[in-house]
Amino acid sequence: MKENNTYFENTGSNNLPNSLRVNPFIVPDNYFDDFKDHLQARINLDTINSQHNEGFTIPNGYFDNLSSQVISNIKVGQLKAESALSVPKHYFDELTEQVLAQTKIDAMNSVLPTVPDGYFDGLSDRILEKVTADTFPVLRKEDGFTVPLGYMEENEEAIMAHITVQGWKENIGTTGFQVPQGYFDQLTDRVMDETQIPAPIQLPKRKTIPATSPFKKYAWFSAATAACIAAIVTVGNYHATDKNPVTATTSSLEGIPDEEIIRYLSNYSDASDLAEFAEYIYEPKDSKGIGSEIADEELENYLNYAL
Amino acid sequence: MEDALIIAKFADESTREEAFRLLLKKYQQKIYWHVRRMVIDHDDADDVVQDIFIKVWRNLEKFREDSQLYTWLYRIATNECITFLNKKKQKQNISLDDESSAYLSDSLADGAYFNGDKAQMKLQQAILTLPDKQRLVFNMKYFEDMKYEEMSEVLGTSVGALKASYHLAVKKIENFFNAHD
Repeated sequence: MKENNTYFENTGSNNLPNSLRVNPFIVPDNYFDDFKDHLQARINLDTINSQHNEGFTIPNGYFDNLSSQVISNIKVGQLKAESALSVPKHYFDELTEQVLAQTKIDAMNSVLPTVPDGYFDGLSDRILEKVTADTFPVLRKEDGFTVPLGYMEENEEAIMAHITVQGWKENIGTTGFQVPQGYFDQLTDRVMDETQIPAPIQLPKRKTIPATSPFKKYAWFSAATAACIAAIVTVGNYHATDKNPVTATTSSLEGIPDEEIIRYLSNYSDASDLAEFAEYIYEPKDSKGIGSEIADEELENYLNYAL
Repeated sequence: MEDALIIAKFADESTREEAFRLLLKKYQQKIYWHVRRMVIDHDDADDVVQDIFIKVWRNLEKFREDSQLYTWLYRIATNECITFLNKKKQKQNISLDDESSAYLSDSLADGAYFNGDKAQMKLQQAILTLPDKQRLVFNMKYFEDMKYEEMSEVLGTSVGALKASYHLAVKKIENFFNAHD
């Protein structure tokens, strides 16, 4: 079978592809147009060179002095560089403003007060002695703050105490005291229990005794009678049989009017109260009634307090 | 809770108990430790604290708010402490003019509810060498970090006097440490 070989198609002679037959080299524009003139100029130049006559002339002995002249110029240039004075950038632009500012400063300095001789010598040490960085803030001029008179002197001791105490706090810490477990949880309830006001004692309504009752005249006698009755009943109960026990309380209070009881309690209260109650226990003829000057509420409060 | 709110709630009978519970919750520990540092013994502190808060309960509605509630409470607590300590002195037949608080050293030595180390024990012993009122000042400044102005309101003493008292207390304690090294 004949091989259909297309490998050498479009290659022409020498087996080169037609695409490679393009000349890759380029020349400047108008090269070939100007070529003739360039060639003629080159020929003329070569002719002149061969004649050794370029048309320029030089002074006599020029090349003999040339080296020494060059070296001298170099030395002069160096000298100029060393002695040249320079100024900072924009120096002259700012100079006017700086001079004016300095004149103002000089004017101010002439009116400022002077300080004693040697003032500034120990100033920094004095300041460091009196001020500690972590106790007092640095006072800057622009803050405008002042301190009370004598503040620095008084607080030297405060500063020393503060330093001492800070050391203790760092090394010793808390007190070391403890509380029983749950103490604070229970404390509130315990305090609330203590603050509850107990039910007040309710006295029965007093019976008003007419002003003309002869009984009033014998107020002290009545109180003494009540005490005696109480004593007698108590003694009697002491001998009571077991089969018929009688409580002293029920027996002694039965049948005794409330006013008598009140008077009895008043008599057996603290001496400090006696003077106050004597006014109410003693009853002159024209008294309105036993204990009538005492408000019920006051009486109840007193009994609540006493009991 | 704000003190003003507590006082307002206390003024209303229907919310009085609630207000008092809030007050207790807010201040009981501060008041307790203030008292405890003075009386040393926990049981004594417990008694005094209860007395304090009962007084507060009875008198809070009369509180005029011309000072901070905290200051008022502290004033009551401080007065109760001084009263208690004076009674204790009397019970132990110690003159009220006796300046030192050494009569409390037994309570400290007893060790009940005290688990401090040697340094803490030494500090407490040193503090007990101070008179009661100076101890108060030292405790309030050192442990509670109160300002002198607040202390002045509580104790009714000038700021200058309090400062002097505190500095003197620090020196005394320092001397105690140096003497017992």
